[in-house]
Amino acid sequence: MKHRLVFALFVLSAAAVFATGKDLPAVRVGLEELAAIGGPESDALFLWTGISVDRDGNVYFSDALDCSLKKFGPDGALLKRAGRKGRGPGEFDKPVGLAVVGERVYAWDLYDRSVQVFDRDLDYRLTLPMPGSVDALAVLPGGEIAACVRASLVLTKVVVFRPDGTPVREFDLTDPKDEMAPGSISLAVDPSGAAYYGYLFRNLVEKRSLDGERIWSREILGAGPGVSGNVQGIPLPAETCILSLARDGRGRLFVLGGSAAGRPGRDVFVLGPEGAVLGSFVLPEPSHSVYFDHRDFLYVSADGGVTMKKYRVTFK
Amino acid sequence: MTLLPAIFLAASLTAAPVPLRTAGGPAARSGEAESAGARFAVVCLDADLLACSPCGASLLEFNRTVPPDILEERVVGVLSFREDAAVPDPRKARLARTRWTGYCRANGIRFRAAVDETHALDPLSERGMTILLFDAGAGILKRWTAPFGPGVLEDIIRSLSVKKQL
Repeated sequence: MKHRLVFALFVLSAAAVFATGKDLPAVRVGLEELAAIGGPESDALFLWTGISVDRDGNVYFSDALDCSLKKFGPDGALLKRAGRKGRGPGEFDKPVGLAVVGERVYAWDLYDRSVQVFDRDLDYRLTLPMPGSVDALAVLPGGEIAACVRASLVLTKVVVFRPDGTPVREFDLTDPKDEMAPGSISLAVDPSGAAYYGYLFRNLVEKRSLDGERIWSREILGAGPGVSGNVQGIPLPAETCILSLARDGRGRLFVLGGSAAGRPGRDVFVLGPEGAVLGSFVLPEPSHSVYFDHRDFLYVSADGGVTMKKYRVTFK
Repeated sequence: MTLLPAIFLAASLTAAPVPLRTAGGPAARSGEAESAGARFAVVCLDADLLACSPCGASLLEFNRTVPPDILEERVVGVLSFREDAAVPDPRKARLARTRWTGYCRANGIRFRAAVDETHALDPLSERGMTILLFDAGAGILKRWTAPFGPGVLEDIIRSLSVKKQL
């Protein structure tokens, strides 16, 4: 058993230092698999979309296939499953994300212009209306919450609100005159309240202040996506660029590349807080998401969302 | 493309002859014999598209409209899934089954399904859902491809409810 573990670690490390072929230095990263939830022989997860970990190490998922939210203990045991298909309170059609903020769990649906609020036992509490469907949500240092909200195909706003839903401010993240749809936008926040944004349909990662002023922006994939067609006259890209981004406790930004990257869902680009590209590494399996908990453990998906894997990340 | 695998898959799921219930309707009351297991529908689906709401609309409408007894006794699903032909991976078929379990849990799907590990029926689910109507003696009688036009679901129900003349 011990030998198998050592071998597995060796294989993962070898995979992780493989360069992406984008003229970026390979970052020597060790990925030690610590835990997994779900899998093809399990009915724990079917297509998890969002993940969040609370201060006690409980892991929460939104699952788009069985329209539910799930809470697992630190040992991986299922503690609670909530939600069902529908459009009413506590119901989902396609839950695509969630975030634990203090005692509350905020969850959102692909098709709803709202955020549903649950307690940490996943009991439904209330619904907060939003000016569009939510792509991402993160808590700001002062306790306010920022959400990327798609008001239209081309216009994404950042809406800042208090935990009870009271609006504080908002600004346009994209230009409503843009010709190309930005797609879903990923969000991560640093301790100063500055936010990082990654665009699904644009080769673009940017950092903005609390008020939306751009601090820096980077194209990290080498080229943007071509056009595959259009919806309502708006061109849609042929490829995905930024699937997800997450920030670790040391301020490094981890950006997961989509199909426009060399290895879709596997190439992870590491950026410094000021936008310098430090290098890249490759995940063992394609993931749709990268997420760090407060202890800097990395969570990614495997098996097309049927499995979650938790890694310890070490830089060499 | 051969449809033989579909027949084997369907036959494996409907192996035991199942009497066609008519919920005490006129035919049952008159004592007419019915063709046990004579007709069944094979629903060809792409397991990788189960999370796609627009793609699944026809499937949900089918599941909602067709009477439960017909769904349970006369309908079987065949799930296709994507796999690199050069690198077969048995986990892919298991993942397709797992996804189906989750989808059924959320949507109350009432018919069973098998995974097509031969990939023979992949073309039938490439553009969404295809339903094949089989007759045990005559083979394929009809074929419908989603999205369904007006009257198609009624046609499917009528076709699966037909009784054999003695």
